[in-house]
Amino acid sequence: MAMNNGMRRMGQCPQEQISSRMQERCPMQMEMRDRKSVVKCVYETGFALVETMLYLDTHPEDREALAYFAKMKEQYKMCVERYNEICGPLRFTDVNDDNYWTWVMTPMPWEMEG
Amino acid sequence: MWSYEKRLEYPICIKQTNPTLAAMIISQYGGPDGEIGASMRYLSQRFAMPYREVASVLTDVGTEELNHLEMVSTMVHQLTRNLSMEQIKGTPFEAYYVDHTAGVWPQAAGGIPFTAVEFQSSGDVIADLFEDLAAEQKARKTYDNLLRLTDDSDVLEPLKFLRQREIVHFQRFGEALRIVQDKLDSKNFYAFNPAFDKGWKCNK
Repeated sequence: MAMNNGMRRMGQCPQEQISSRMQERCPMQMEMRDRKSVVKCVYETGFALVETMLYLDTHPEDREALAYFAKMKEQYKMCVERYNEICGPLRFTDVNDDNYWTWVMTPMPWEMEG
Repeated sequence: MWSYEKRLEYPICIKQTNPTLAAMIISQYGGPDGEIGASMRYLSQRFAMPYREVASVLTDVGTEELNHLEMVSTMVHQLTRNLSMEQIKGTPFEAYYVDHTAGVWPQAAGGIPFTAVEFQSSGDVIADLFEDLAAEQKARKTYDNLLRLTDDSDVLEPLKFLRQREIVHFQRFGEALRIVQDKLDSKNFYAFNPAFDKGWKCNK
């Protein structure tokens, strides 16, 4: 069995892989900073939504929490729209391409980092 | 129904492989207090939960546990990527490798395969919620034990996130139990089982 010898670090962090792939297929050479901030926004607002949802399940009349949920939902929606433009579809219903089923083109979550 | 969002709930990027640690972390995928058991427990129990707020907690926590089992599998996968035979031989990962190579399969750290016996769906509202409270604490305990096994921050950060979620879920299940008890006979919570005994009034 042909195997490399000794300890070997993983060649490339998944994030580096995804960013190089992204540059290959991104028509407008998005800046890394822009991509990073939109991914961070999806993670943060997405988490705020999950956390608020669970809280609201047992506190359905908490108007402060309802207002926070509405605010986060709006931000999340904006971030996801930008994410779809820069990184590809987050959900299969976000696919918006006449030429290729881009759902199968973007990395799986375990390959990447946010 | 469920709809897939193509991302993790919390970002994971582990640069340094570590098959020994992977063989321990796999327990939170398919072990006695792991995420598969958690998700299947809550998603199964929902059908015997007559109160909508609490059925929503079971649905939404059960769904978040699916995110968590994806995170745990991701950690196992990244810790075992591109391994050489020298890195596998003599480690606790060696026995796992014989059957599963570097694939992800649900088992406990001690090698016991996942089984539905790890959780209960009792059809009794109070019994189920007490099991859920205990399950969250047992999962928190496993994350505490895993956190003591490494100083790799790429592994520590997602483990700390997952540990914190167990505590939040415990809180929500405590509130769910209070909601249920408020709807029962305050002199005897066990006078009837609202999910089974006939004669209880529909209470939305």
